[in-house]
Amino acid sequence: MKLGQDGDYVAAAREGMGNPCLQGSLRSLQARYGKGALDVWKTLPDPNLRSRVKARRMQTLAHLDRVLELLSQGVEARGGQVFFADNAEAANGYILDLARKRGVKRVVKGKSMLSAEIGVDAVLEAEGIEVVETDLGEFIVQIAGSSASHIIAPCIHMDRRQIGRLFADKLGIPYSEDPPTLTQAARKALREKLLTADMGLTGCNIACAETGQISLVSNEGNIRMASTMPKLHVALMGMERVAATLEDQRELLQLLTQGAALQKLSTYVSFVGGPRRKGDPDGPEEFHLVIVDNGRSRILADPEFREVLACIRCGACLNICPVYGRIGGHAYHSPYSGPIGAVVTPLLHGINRHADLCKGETLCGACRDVCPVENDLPRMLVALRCKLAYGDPGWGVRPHNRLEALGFKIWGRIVGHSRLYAAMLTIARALQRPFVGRNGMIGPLPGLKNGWTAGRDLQPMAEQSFRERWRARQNNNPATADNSRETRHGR
Amino acid sequence: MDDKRTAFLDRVRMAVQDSEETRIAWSELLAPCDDSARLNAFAQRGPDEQQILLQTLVEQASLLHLQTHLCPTLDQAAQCIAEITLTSATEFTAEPALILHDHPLLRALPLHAQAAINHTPRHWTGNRDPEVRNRTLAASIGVTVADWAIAESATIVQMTRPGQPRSTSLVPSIHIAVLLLSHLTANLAEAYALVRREQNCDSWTLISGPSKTADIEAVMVHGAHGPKAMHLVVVTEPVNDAHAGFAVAS
Amino acid sequence: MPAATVTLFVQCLVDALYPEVGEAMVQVFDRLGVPLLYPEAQTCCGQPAYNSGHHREAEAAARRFIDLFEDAEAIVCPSGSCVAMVRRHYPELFAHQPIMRERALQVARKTFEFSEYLVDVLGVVDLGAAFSGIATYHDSCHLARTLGIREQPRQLLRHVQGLSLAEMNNSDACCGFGGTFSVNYPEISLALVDDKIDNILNSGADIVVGCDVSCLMNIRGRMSRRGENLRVLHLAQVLAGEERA
Repeated sequence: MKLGQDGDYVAAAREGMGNPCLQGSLRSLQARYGKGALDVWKTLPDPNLRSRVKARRMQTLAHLDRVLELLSQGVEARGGQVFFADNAEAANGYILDLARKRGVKRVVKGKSMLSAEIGVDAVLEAEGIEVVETDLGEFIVQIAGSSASHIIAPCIHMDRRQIGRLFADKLGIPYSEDPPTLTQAARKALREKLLTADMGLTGCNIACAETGQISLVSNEGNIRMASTMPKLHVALMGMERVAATLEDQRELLQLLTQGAALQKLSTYVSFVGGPRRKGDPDGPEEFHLVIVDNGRSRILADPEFREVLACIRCGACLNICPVYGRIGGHAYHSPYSGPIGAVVTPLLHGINRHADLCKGETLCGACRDVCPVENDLPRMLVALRCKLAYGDPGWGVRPHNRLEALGFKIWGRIVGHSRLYAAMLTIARALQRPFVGRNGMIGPLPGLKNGWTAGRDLQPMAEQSFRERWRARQNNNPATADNSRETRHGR
Repeated sequence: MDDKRTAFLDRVRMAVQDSEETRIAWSELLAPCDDSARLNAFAQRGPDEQQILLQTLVEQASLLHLQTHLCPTLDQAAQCIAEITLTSATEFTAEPALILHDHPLLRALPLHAQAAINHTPRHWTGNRDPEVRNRTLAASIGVTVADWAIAESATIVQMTRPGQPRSTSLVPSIHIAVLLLSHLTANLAEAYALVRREQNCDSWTLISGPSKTADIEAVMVHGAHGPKAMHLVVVTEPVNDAHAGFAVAS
Repeated sequence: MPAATVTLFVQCLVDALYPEVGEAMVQVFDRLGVPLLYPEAQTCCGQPAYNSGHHREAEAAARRFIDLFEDAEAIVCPSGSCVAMVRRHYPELFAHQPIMRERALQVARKTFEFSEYLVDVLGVVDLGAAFSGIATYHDSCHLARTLGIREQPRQLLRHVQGLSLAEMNNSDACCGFGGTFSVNYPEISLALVDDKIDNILNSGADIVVGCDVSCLMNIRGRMSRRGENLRVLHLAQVLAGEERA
C-alpha cells in the first residue's frame, strides 16, 4: 500500500476491523496507554502545565520565522548546515544531491513520519541506494512491504507468528515466534547496517532554537546509532517542530514521553546540532538539518487550523480514539493516522481527497481530553466538514456531497417552519407504518436509510409527538392553558 | 541558497502577520530561565536529602532494568567494574574487552589492582586517537562517567567532550556508567539548569537504562540497538576534586 | 422562594420518537412544583447540521432557537448534546456577529441539561423516586466531556429506591452514534455500539440508563437487532417511575 495515494477509507477500515491480531493489540494498547495518559494529566503536580505549554507553543508559532532563523544560525555556528525545503521535491532533491556527491550507498533511518510524508525512501532507492529502517517496528513493516499502522508502534497489526515467518524468510534465521529471539535477530542484522552505513537519516522530535540543536527520542538506541556512526547525518524536521527555549523543550519532552508511552523519559534523548569536533572518533563529519514546509505554512496562515501545528506527535490521541481503535492506522492512508492524522492529512494533502478522514469520526472528544497540548481536534474536524459542505476557494475545496447538501437545505426549511415540521412528522408517521415490525421497531430497510438499518433496528415515530401530547394535556386542563406559548413570529 | 531561505522565512512571516498585535514580544519569548532556585537546591543539598534521592534512583532504576551498584570508595568501584566484566557474557566479540572514557575519575580507579581482569584488554578513548573506533567495536563493555544523574527518572546525563565520545555508551553490548553521589540531581528541571550553566556543550544525551523495544506484540525486550545491559556504579563517598572532573558539584 | 419557571426544550428526537421521555421530565418537574412553559414552535437546535459542517443551516436553526427561547428564565433539556450545542457552539457560530453572539451567550447561560438542573440548580438529589432493577449508566460524550456532567446523573440514580447501580467498563466510551456518522460509516458505528453493548451486558445490569436519546436510540436499535432484552431508558423515565418507562 503506497502512502499518500487515494485509498478507500471504508474498505481499509473493514479490513482493519477484520484483523483479529490488530483488534487484540489495539484493545490492549488503548486499555493501558490511552487511559493511562489521562491519569497522568490528572495527577500532574502543576494542573496548568498543559495549557501553559499550549500557550507557549502558540506564541512560538506566532514568531516562527524568527525562531527558525535563530535555530538555523545556532546550527550553523556549530558547523552544521541548514536547508529550507519548500516542499517534498525540494527536500528529496537536496538529500539525493548530497547522497550523490558523497557517494552514499547505504542509508540507515531513524523513525521519521516526515520521511514517509515526502517519500524520500523511494527517491533514494531509485538511485540504487539501499535504505534500511532501523526502528524494529519500521524495519518489520519495511521488509514485509507494508506500512506503519501506529505512530509509536508501527507493526501493531502483525502478530509474532507473522513476524517469525517474515524473519525466517527475509533474514534466513530458523523460524521462531519468541519476541526476544526475534528482537535479537533484528539487533544483529541491523547492527551491521548501522555500523557500515554512509548516511543516517532521522527525523527531529523537538528542535531548540535557543541552543541551536535538535533533540531525538528513542527507546531502542537506533536513532543514536544512526546519528553517531555514519559520516553523514541528515535530520528532517517539519518546520513547526521547534521549541523557542531549552526550558520549552524540556516541558514538551516530558509531555511527549508521557503521552506516547507513559514514560518519565524515553531510554534515550540525544541533543545534536552540528558535526563532530575535529579528532572525535565518532559523530558525523557533516550534519544537515532539512527544514520542511510542504503545506505547513498554509496551515499556519489559517487561524482556524494553526493550533494543529502545536502537535508533538506523541500518539496519545491514537491510544484513546474509539474509531482508530477499531479500524487501525492503514485506513488513514497516511503516515499520520488516528485523530491527528484525520486533521493534518487533509490539510497537507487535500481536503476533498481525504474527505472520509474529515467525516469518519464521531466527534466524541476523547482526543481533545488526552492531548498533551490541548489541541481541539473535534473543532477542526467540524471546520473541515464545513469546507466540504460548501466548498472553500481558499483551500481549494469543492462541495463534497451535493445530495447531503440538498438534504440539509431541505432539513433547514423543515425545522424553520413548525407547521411544516409537524406536517412532515405526520407524513413520516403514515409512511412508516408498513415497516414497523411486531417488536415495535423498524427492521432492515433498503435504500438510503440502509446505513442504519443494515445493523440496527430503527425507533419508529411515536403515534403522538410530545407536542401533541402536551397540547392534549393543556386542553384537558384549561387552568394551565396559559402555559402554552406561541412564538413572537407565530411560526 | 540564501534566496531560498529568505523566501521560506518570508512566507512563514506572512502566515503569522495576523498575530503581530497580540503575540508576546520576542525578548519575552526568549527570556532566559531563572535557574537560581534549582541551582541552589542542588548546591545546598545535605547528606540526608542525598540519601533520599539515592533511594529514589535505585527504585526507579530497577523498573528500567538499570542495575545500580553502591560503592563507597573508588577501590570498591574498581572491584565492582571487575566483577561486572567477569560475569557478563560477550555478545558481538569473542572475548571481553573494555573501552573507557578518558576521564580523571576513571583514571583514578585502581583497575590495575583488579587481578581478575589483568588480561582483559582495555583502551582509553584518548582525544584524537585513531584506534578508538576499532577498539570500541571490539569492546564488550563501555565505561563512562555520568556528568549528572536524575533520581526521579533514573537517568544519566552524558556530555560529549574531547576524549569522551558518544559511542562508548552506545556501541558495546554493555554500558557501565560511574556516578559520584554528589552529582545526583532530583529531577529533569534541576539537571537542565546544570546543563544550561555548562553552556558550551556540543552534543549530549540523556540515558535511562538499557535499550529496549516492545514493538513485537507489546512484549518488552531489553537489548534493541543500544546496550543490552547497563550498570550504574555510584561512588557514595566524596572524592578528590581533581578526580571529579569537569563538572564539579558546587 | 418560588421555583423559577422552566421552559422545556425537549429535543427533536424526543418530540418525534421518544415523547415519553419528555412526559417523564414534565412529571418530575410537576412533582417538584416547578412551573413549566413549552414553546410549541420549537423544532431542532441545529446540531445535526452543525456536526456535519452545514453551518449556514445550523446558524438559521440557532437564530430561531434564540428567538424562541431568549425570554425564558431557565431552559432545560433532556439531551446533553443539545445543551452542548447551545452552550458551546452557538457563541462560536456567531463569533463574527457581536449582537447575535451576545444574545447567544445570554441564552447559553440559562440553558441546562436535565440532571444538571435538578442537582446543581434546584439542589435536589432525592426525588422520592422508585424503580426496581440494576442499572448501568452510559456517559454520553458531549454531556461528559463538553459539559463535564458525570456525577449528577449518578447521584440521582443512587437515590432511587429499589435501584442499584453497576458501573460498566468504559462507561464513557463513545457509543458510535456521532450523528450522520452512524449512517455514513455504518460498519464502524456498529463496531463501536457492539463494544458498548458488550460492556453493558458484562456489567450485570438489566437496565441501561443515559441522558441523551441519540445514544439510547443507537444502543436500543442495535440491542433489538441482537435480540438482547435489556431495557434502555432515559434518566427522566427512571426518576418518573415505572409507568413512564
